[in-house]
Amino acid sequence: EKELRIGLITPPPHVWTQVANRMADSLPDESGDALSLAVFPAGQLGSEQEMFQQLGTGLLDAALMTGAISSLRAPSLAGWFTPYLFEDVSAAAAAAETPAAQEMLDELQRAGVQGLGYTFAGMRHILMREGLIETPDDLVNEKIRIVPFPAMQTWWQAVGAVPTPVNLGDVYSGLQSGLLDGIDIDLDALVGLNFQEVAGGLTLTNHMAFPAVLVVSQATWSGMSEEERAAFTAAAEEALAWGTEQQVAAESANIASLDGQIEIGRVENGNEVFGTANAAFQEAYGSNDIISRFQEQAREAAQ
Amino acid sequence: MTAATRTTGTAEQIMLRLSDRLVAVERVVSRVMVVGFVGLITVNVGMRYLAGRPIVFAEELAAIMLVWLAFVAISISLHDRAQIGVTLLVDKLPGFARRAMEVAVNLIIAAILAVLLWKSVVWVNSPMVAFEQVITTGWKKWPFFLVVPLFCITAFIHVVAHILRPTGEHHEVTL
Amino acid sequence: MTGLSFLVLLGTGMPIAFVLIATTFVFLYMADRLPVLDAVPQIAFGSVETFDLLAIPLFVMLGEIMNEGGLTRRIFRAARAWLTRVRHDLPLVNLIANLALAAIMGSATAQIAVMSRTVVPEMEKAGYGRGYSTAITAAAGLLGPIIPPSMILIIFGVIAQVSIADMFRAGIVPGLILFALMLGLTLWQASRNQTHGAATRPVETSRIKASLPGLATMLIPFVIVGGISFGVFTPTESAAVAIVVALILGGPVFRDLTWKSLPAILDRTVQNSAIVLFLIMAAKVFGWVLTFNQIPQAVAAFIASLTQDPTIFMILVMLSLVAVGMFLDGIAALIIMVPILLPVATATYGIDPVQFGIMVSMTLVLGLLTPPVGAGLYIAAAISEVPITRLSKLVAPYVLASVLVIFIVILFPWVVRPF
Ligand code: NA
Ligand code: NA
Repeated sequence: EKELRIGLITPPPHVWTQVANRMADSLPDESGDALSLAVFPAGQLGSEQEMFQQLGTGLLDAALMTGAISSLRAPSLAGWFTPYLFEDVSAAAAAAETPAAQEMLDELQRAGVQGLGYTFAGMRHILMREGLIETPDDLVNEKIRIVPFPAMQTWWQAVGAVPTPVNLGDVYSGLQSGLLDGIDIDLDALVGLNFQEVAGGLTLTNHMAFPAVLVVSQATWSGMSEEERAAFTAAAEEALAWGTEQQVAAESANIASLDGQIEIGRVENGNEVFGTANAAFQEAYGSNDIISRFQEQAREAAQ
Repeated sequence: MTAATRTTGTAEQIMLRLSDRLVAVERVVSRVMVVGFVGLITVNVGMRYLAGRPIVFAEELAAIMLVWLAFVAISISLHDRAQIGVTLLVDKLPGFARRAMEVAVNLIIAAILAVLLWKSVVWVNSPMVAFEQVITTGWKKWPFFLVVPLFCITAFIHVVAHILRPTGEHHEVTL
Repeated sequence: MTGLSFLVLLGTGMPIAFVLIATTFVFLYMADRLPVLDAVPQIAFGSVETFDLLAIPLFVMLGEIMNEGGLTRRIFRAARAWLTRVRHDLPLVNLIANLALAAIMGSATAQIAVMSRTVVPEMEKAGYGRGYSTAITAAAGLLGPIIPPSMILIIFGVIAQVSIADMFRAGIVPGLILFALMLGLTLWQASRNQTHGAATRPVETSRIKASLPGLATMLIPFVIVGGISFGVFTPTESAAVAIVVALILGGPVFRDLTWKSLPAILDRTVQNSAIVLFLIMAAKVFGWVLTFNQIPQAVAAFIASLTQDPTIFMILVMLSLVAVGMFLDGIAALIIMVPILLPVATATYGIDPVQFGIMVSMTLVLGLLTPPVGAGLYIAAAISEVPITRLSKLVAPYVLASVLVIFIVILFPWVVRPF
């Protein structure tokens, strides 16, 4: 029996960690007890950057990485952060089936890893200490905590906000005290960390998706037999799809649980309202061939 | 004989002199690092409240400066023998045995540093590292990683100097 | 075998950080997993690449500036000016000045060193026994790492991924309880000692004149505690801003600091930071290799089989850490033990990581005052020339007071989250 290790940065309760646990549960059955999987959540083995290096040398066998950090290895993955490309999580999940999404996974091979598929966190929204957002003017010079990676930075800088790096653990007190005016966040994290207690207005902007990529070390992959690869892929696909389903359900459950606790608004036509920022993103990333194919195919898939 | 009067050129004295010169350079680098990140953080606070625009890369860069400071500072502390250990038992040994123990310990440390040097050279040159970048600025990160092999070399020199150092000549630094 | 090599190497006097790295090598060799060594340089680099850890050199530097710039002395003088008419004013002044200092400095050793030099001679002049005076001073140093800011709490926050601001807030109430207990103990001991303790002569200068510099110095804890509580700064930023304030006070305002004193301040900062940062680095490498081989998971399963009760678990942890702290430096022990114990505490027993962190930190800090190895004892004994065995006995009541506070933290978790 071969024991494989999978690492991720999300804490134990997070859907992504549950996806990894689900793989660990089914892999022995799928592989006829040839393979087992040990899960290392919460960055026990290091940051995502560090885990990428460990995958490269074959120390670590697999990881569920954010698309954000993965896009530093395979630039086409930045296409996932095209603003207003997806209506909701199910639309993003549909786009994961496109040929261009597969091309992105193939591009990861140059970083020494095999991309096997995607699962998703919730859509990104904007939570403010005070008030709702109607236009980007409401965000000018506001201190917003974002996930600091190039694609998201490009968009937020074009909005005119001041992207402010703060650890997720310090966001609660940062909002409470005014160190932060707002955050770019998904609803799972918002509800999980009780940010509604220290913020006044949640604007459902739906501006970006937030995928995770399941990667396997090339060294591990080439060391597996055909049957082992098939078993691993089967366990992975089932768990990733399950995770996406959980996330789709969580999105509406989260909104329902926030109802009455906090003022909730929507930006209905964000495509136009945030037009300038969206154009800035397109200017920076639209020239990448895979990204432009991905955008086209994702729009087709949505129709 | 003290560091200042050491002028002749036997191999062992060259090593001791090298260690002393090296640590002088390292002290300057370490001071610059500390002043550097105190300045960077303070300016960042000022920018946030006075200009309303924090420096996006300030935290990431300051953290990298801390790594540099850490490696340089550790090397200095090895030269100064300032790292803490449990000397409860060793202090009870007679002089010659204590010296023998000290040499043995330093030989182990030198061996560890040699292995780390080898591993860190492999690491800095590995294809994976070529992808690493400072996220907020987009700079290549491998030049920053060079501090690890550099540290292994300087620390190795300081430790070997301690092995060669004549009995009785200590760098007791009372800071 | 791995555990044995750890103990043997520890006994040779090898720096603890290298003991950890060497033990890692032995472990990987025994487990036939030497290729894992490839990851060591990367883990070492990543281990200190954390913005929050910057607070460590910064708070070390702040302490150095406080002492070099005469700011510590001014706090002592200001407290003294107001208490000259009170019976047993000097023991009181000692504790109050230590409390004020604790709100600025992050470690006990720096605080014990400077207070032993400043206060013990004054108390002796006023007729208090040298042993008694030194014991109070060494014990009051324990307030340093409990009242924020605190190096050990920063390190716990980084390892446990808990907000450092939360850790700082959590230290306040237990620190104040400890202060109150120490105050009671000190006064009780002073009153039993009939030959001393008449009010000392008033200092020549007026109260206002003596207390103004002290009040100005109290700007610094205001910047730190206020800045963090109201969220104006992160803990790291508050340290940098406090350094700037301390430089201005010590330099242009009080004129005790000159450009010439800066290199020495920087060198001491670098040296003290080197010890802590190397320990963090080595413990991270050690911990990573253990985690990779699922050792903490096995330890967790074993501990969980001993008891189901979180309170009993915490008391067991406390007792074993008291034993560890007798021999090992507190910060070293913290960064070795927490990655193993914390997951058990939170996942198996559902203990609040903040409460666990305060309990562990307070327990390990006690090691400073417990023989045979205790930096606090050594420093105070060396400066005041009191034998270590005698000093250990004299501080024992204060150590017990501290144990009492740790029990309060275990039994009444609200003290760590009062607001
Ligand atoms: Na303190
Ligand atoms: Na001790």
